[in-house]
Formats: sequence, C-alpha cells, structure tokens
Amino acid sequence: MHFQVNGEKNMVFDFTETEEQKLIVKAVKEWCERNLTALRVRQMDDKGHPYPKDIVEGLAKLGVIMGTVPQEHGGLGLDWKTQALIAETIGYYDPTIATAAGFMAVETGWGYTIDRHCSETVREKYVKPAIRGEKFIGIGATEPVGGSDVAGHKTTAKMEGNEWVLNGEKTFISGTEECKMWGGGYWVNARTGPLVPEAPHRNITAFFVPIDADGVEVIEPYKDSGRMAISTGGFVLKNVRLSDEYRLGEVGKGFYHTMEGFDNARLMIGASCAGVIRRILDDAIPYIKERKVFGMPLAKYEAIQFELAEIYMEMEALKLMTMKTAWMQDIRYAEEGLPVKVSEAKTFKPTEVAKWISMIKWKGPFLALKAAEKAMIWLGAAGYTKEYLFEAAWRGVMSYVVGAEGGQNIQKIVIGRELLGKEYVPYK
Amino acid sequence: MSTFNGVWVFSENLDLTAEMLSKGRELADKLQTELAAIVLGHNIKEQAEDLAAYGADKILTADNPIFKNLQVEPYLGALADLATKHKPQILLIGSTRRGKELAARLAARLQTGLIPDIVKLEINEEKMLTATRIVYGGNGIAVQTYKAKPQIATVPPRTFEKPKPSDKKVEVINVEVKLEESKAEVVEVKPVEAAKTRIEEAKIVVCGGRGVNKKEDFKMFEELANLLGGQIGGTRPLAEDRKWFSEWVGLSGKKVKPDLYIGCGISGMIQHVAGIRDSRVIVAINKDPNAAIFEVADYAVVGDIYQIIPALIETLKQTLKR
Amino acid sequence: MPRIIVCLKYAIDVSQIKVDSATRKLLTADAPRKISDFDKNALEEAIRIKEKHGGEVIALTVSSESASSALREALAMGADKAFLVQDSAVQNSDTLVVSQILAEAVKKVGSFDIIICGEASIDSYSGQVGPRLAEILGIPAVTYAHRVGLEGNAIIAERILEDCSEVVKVKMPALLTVTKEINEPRVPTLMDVLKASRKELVTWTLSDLGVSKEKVEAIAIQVLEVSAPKVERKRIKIEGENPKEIAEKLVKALIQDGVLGG
Repeated sequence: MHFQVNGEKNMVFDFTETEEQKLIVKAVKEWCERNLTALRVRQMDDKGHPYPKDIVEGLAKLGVIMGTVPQEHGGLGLDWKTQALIAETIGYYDPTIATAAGFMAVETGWGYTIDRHCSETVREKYVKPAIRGEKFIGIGATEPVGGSDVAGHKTTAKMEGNEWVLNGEKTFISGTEECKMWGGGYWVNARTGPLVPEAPHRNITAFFVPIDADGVEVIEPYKDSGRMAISTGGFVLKNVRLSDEYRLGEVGKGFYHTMEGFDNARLMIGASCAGVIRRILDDAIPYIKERKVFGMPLAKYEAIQFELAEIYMEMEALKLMTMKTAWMQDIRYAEEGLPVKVSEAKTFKPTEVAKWISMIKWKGPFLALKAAEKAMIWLGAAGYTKEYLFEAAWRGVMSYVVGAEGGQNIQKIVIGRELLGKEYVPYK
Repeated sequence: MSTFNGVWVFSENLDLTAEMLSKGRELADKLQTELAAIVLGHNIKEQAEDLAAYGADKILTADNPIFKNLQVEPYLGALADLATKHKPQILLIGSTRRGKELAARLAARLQTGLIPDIVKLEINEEKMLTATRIVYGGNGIAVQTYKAKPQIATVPPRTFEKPKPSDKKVEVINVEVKLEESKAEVVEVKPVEAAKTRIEEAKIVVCGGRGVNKKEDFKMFEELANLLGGQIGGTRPLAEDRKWFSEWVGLSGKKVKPDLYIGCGISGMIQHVAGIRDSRVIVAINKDPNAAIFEVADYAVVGDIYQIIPALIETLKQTLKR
Repeated sequence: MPRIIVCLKYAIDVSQIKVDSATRKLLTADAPRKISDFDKNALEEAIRIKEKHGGEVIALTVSSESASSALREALAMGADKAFLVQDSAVQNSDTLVVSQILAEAVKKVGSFDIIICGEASIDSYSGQVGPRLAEILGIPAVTYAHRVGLEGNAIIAERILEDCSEVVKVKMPALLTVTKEINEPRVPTLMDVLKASRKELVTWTLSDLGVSKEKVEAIAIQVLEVSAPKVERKRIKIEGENPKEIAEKLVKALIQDGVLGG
C-alpha cells in the first residue's frame, strides 16, 4: 500500500512488511513465546528488580537490543521501522512494559544515540558489551530539581586540565541497580558554560558516565508501583573526573543531542505501547466472548463492544503513526549521515520528526492505560486478579503517563510549537 | 486385464488382525468376495490357527526366522509378493508404527493409494472403498476414496471390536513368499520408557481440582494416567493455595489440548476451562450436579471421585488387557 | 561430512483454520501456512548433525503455493541451500504423486547421504511421504526416530514403538523420519535471518523436473469432502447403579469415540 505524503516532494510511504521483516518479527515472537511467557512475566513483576540476566542475554543473542546500531559498531544495522516492529512484539509479550522500558526505550533508543556521538573508547568499553547483554547503558536525565525543564538542570562539568569534573545528582533513573550489578554507565547532561537566560538550552554538554567511576554514588532504588522488573534509582556525582573521551557529541550541543535521544526512546515507547494494547485485547476478547451474563456473552453487549471498537481503532491509528514516524526517522538519519550533520536532514526536518514522535509518545501510553482499565472493567472481578496481566500493564504504562521519557504535556507543547511557531511556546 | 479380488487383513499384532477381521468380514460380504488373514512370523503356527475363530475364509501364513525382529522389509517383501500374485482389492493393515511404515512402502511399491488411521470404512456405489479419517489436528473430518487398486488402509487398535469367536473350519495355508532382508540392523531392543512429553502436548490428561482431599490422592490419578499413557495435572488453587504443585492447568498456566481430558473434583471455573477447551473429549467427574464443568463436558459423571476413579481403573485394566 | 536433504511441507496451520458456520466447511484455502512442526524437528536435527560432523543441509519443499518465506525461514535456522518445487498443479496431489515429485527433485539436487522428514505432517498426519520416498529411491528408512547419531558411514537411531524402543543401525544413504521428542527447533537470531537473505533459494516447476501433467493427475486417493466436527459438547450424563457400571459405560463410550486407542 502506498500513500502520498507530500505532493511537492512526491514521496511514497510503503509500510508493507518485507519478507525479511516478517521473518525477524517471527523469530522475536517465537523467542518471546518460549522465554517471556505470561507466567514468567507475572513472576518477574511480582518479584521485582533486578531484571533477570538470563533474559537479557537471550534478548542480546537474539539481536533485539540496539539492533539499529550499525553492523560496524556491533549492532545489526536494522532500520527503525524494523526495530519498531520488534518493540511492538516485546510490548506484546511483556505488557508490564518492563522489558520494553529497559531494553527498547532506554538501551535501544538511548544506546543508539550514545553510539552516534561517543568515542571509540566508550563504544568498545560500554556500547558493544551492552549490545551483547553484558552491561547496561542508559539515560540519566531527570534531576531532583525537575525533569521536563532540561535546560534548568543543575549538574555541572568544569574542564580542569584535560579532564572534565562533574558534580550533580540525577533521580528517577531507569536501571541503576542493573547497571550497578552488571556494569555500564549513563548519558549525563551537564552545564559546561554560562546560563543564557533567553536560550537556557545552550552551553550544555553530554557525557557518558561509567557507573563505577570514582565519585559516582548510586542511590537505593525507589519502590515503584509498576514495571517492577526494572529498577528506578538515581546517582550522585561528586567530583567525577572524566577524560574528554567520555564526552558525547559536541561541546555545548548537549541539549540537541538529548532531544535526538528522546526521539529514539519515545519512538520505542509508542511502538511498545501498541504491542501492550494488542496483548490486552487478545487476552480480554476470548473472555468476553465466552463469559455469559443474563444469558448473553459480554461481547454481545454494545456498551462493551463499542468501547472495544474504539480502543481497537485507536490502536491501529497508533500503529500506523508509529510506522510512519519510524520511516521518517530512517530518512532523517540517512540524510544526516555519520558524523552527524543535522543540517543535512532536508526531507523531514528533525523538528517535524519530533512532532510525530511526540504524537505517538503522547498517544501510546494513554491508550495503553485506557485499554488496561477497560479490560479490567469488562472482565469484572476476574480481570482485577493477577491471573491476568491487565493490572500489571496499567501500573507499568502509567510510568510513561506520569512522565518517563518526557511529560505528556510536554509532548503537546512540542506539537503546538510545530503547528503554531516557536513564539507560541509558553515557556523556555 | 486382471481383476482384483479379495479382502486381506494383516498386522504383526494378531489381536489387531482379529479386530480388523470383523470389519473385513462385512466388506468381503458386501463385495461378495473372500476374506483372508495374512500371518507372517516366526514359530507362529499356533497363533495362526487361533485366528481361525475370527471369521476369515482362509489364513495365509509364512513362517520364517526372517520375520523374527518385526522389521519392515521382510513384511514388505512378503506382502508385495503375495499382493502382486493374488491381487486383493482391499488390504487392511494394522496401524501400529511398524504397520504405518509398512503400508506406505507397500503402497509405493504397488503404486497405489493408502488411507491411514481410518475411523470408518464403507463400500460405495462403484464398489470402491471409502474411508473417513480425522485431519487438521482434530479440526476436520475427511472422507476419501480410492482411484487405484489394491486399496490399502491402516486401522488403529480398538477401531473395531474383535468378532465373537466361532468354530467355523478355516483353511490355514502355508505360502511361499519372497524373502527380503532388512537393510537396517536391530542393535538393541529396550522396554519402552514413558516418553516425557510436555502436558501441553499430551494426548491424554487427567486433572484434579479442589475436590481432591490430600496430595497423596493424586496417586490414583497417576495410576489412571499411566494406564492410558497420559499425564496428570492440577488446577491453580492446588498450586497457589495448597502449594501441592508448582504448575497448573488453566488460563494463566498450562493450556492443554488432549484427545481425552478427565477432570476430577473440578468445579469448572472459567479460568480452568479456558485451559482445556481445545480437548477433543472432556469427561467430568464431580459430586456436585450443578458444577459448571458439566456445561463444557461431553460425558458428565455425578459421583464421588474416590469411588469412580478406582472403578475406572479396574475397568480399564480389564479392557486394555490383551 | 554428510549431505543432508530435509523435506519440509508447507502445511496448513491447523490452529488457524476458520469454519463456515453455515455449511460447516473448512476454509482451508484462506488458512495461513507454515513449515509443518515435525519437519522443523527434522530440519533442526539435520543442522545439529552438520554442526557436529560438518557437511551440508539442503531444504526441499513441494508446494502449489509460494513457499519461499518458509524456505527462507529454513535458511535462517541453518540450512545452506533451499529448493522449492512450486506448481499449482500439485494442489490436489496425493502422497503417491507428491513422493514421486520429491524423488525427482532429490535426483535433481544430486547426491545425498541422509534424507530427514518429520514423522508426519501436522495437517494430514498420514506419515506416508517419508517411507514412500525411501521406497522410490530404493534406500532403507528408519521411522519415528527420537535420537540419532552417526558412526562412520552408518546412522544409529533410536525409535520408540508401542511396546519397546529399538536401536537400529543403517548404512547411508538412508531416510529418517523423526518425532517431535527428538529436539526443540531453534529460534534463529536476527543475524541468522539477515544472513538467510544471501543464501541460495532455487525455484523449480514440474517441467523443470520432467514431471508430466499426466503423472501429476494420476492420483490414487481422492478427497470427497472435509468438514468440521460438531463443536458443541455432548453433555451426555453417564449414570448407573454403582461405580462399576458407570465406569464400564464411560469406557465403552470413550472407546467408541476413539480417544482410548492408538
């Protein structure tokens, strides 16, 4: 199927799966059927972090972690459309979203971005081992002072001699316990130049901070309400000394690189949520077809059927939006090239891609939350029990509703900015 | 132009031969032709003569040490030779694993058709054999007919009942057959160990629920399952609440799709039923006549499992005894 | 270094067959297809033999449909080459014809040491093609193998029969059919999938094999009809004066249903 995207650009959007993509999805599906069974996922959620190492190693061997990283850098060089299909499948088999959170959003989304901007040293020591399932690399963006206001963060990095010295604190960071146990590190933004009030996003630089670096103190994980299998913790940076090899991307351009990282992670979230919703419906539908009340199956009652139809409609819309977003991301990256030349992305400007990314990041978690809630209501008491994964899915996707990988309202600001113009952004 | 005549019956298992003779008799009568039992073995003179009681018009037998190891090629060589010489129109072969392999090779050698594991056999208006069998993993019933002769079918054990023994006099004819050596060498024969299939793949499942008083009571389910070559399972409350097992059969546990499911002391809550609904035949035994499981059962037994199961075990021991 | 040919059937995925509720006809034409389950075990076993002894694994399929995705999956699992005999004429072929076509394909593929098939297909479960193929090619067969090993130029296979298990030794070339207990087929890694795109997949028509139209149409078995069994549960009450009577009635019914046999 082909759609005309933009009359003057004469682009066609073909989202039929290639034979290779079908085989890839099939392989992921078969692996998940054996290793991410409903029972295992329930046990993982009940037990909580750390995330089982054997599953990570299996995922790595399968090739789904950071699949988009180029083959020369240890990845598979998959395109984002394929990786989105993989994320959808992972979301389906782990609807608590713990696996997608840790290994699609964080490791694949952010890991790919780290690889684009890191030195060979960081790649050899951290990126490649993470792809092999040996270490964990993630994003440490949020600070005690706030999350959404990235430019207002307080972590600093000062050049002393030929080393950067970092001070600050990051909180609500995914995977800190896993990172501490297995080794790895985090993408950390720090202010490296004066704060310009009209342009606070300038003079921020991105760094890769190894979790075991001197001066890094990992904070005890929080007691999350959902996605229990992956930890959420934090770390304090006290005079952490890093060579310039640990800088990610250009000095002062950290904010832009970070937006790129969010783009990739949010794409993974949108895709994973589509899988979560599909799973919820697959689990709920047999029950409502079977269960009779007042002599009629639940599924025959319009109240339920209509809600099901709406959620299904929105899920299909989400899936199409996700594929289109992935397609745009692929074209954008192909044009930017390596080393990254943002100005080269002409067909789809990064800001236009960001608009679509925000659309699916907003839509996915909210729709998944609604699907989980509705499924429980349709099924009644049975849906409320832990026999089903609805309540675990609800608790898990709520983390993305409350703001993991970006506040939901921020997504609307991004969309508004693209539609109306920068001057209409309510705050900087 | 030579015509095909006669209904023949063969199995390396003579009890199965006897069972097939009952249907063979019916087919032979309809076609107004002769019914013959073929017996191939080593030192089988007496067993061949015993077969006379089951309705064949004649018994063709070849006694030779080549048949000692029950291998395919010796049977194949002998049957192909006999079939080519005497041209039976129908050949029924017992559907054991050996029998199925034999039948297929024989059909290839004689360049004819084979319908295996039949459930029903009939003669149609054109005086050809029509067979019914189960296909698509139990999702379909196929009716097939032959376009070539001999018409070969394999018949599973207990598809037909052994005829009532009669004292009709039957000719037991010793025949000369081509002796074909097996190219495979039997190095060792071991008593069969129960194949450890996963319960999701088991063909027979016996399940116990909250109606079971003690974990030790599962021994009788084990005995029943072993008799049937099946596996045992429990419902979720037995695993989660009573901590008798670590797994269970049900929606959030293992889903089974056996040919036969026997639920003992199981009320039939939807979460368990969801795990068994693909079973071909569901038998439910429960003290409570209003148990929900009776809604989804093929056979409902309102009774005490502690009485019914032992009775079932006894009856099966009698029936399955050869 | 054995050269192993694995016969794969592009079979109907029986778990996905829909039924026309009015006519009770099975809508098999629309049902998705996949590599027959036991054939996957056969392929897995062939790959394991190659991993242990070296050699080559060749996947072979005869189908009326485009089975290239299934063969690509076989290549992803580890087959080195794949051959597809695709011709709409085989749609109604019976096992007599299919095994003859397979034999011609095997001859065209060339020399081999082992042919491995599944014990039967998941859709028709007749278990004939393996033994028929062996008979046509004039090689010995060992069926229902659940453990296989090589010893010099011979195969040692253990097979489970109703009353015993046999260990059998046979010289190559030979044909094996395997049960699902023999192994658990691997899930290919994504890297394997990517590599599979570069492996050789050859498609042949019946005329490429020199198989005539007459030969294909000379079927010995004709399917008259295939319908769905009745879905509703029978809900038959088994009653009696005492447990023994109930048990006897129940056993009799179950024997009639054919669930206590074979």
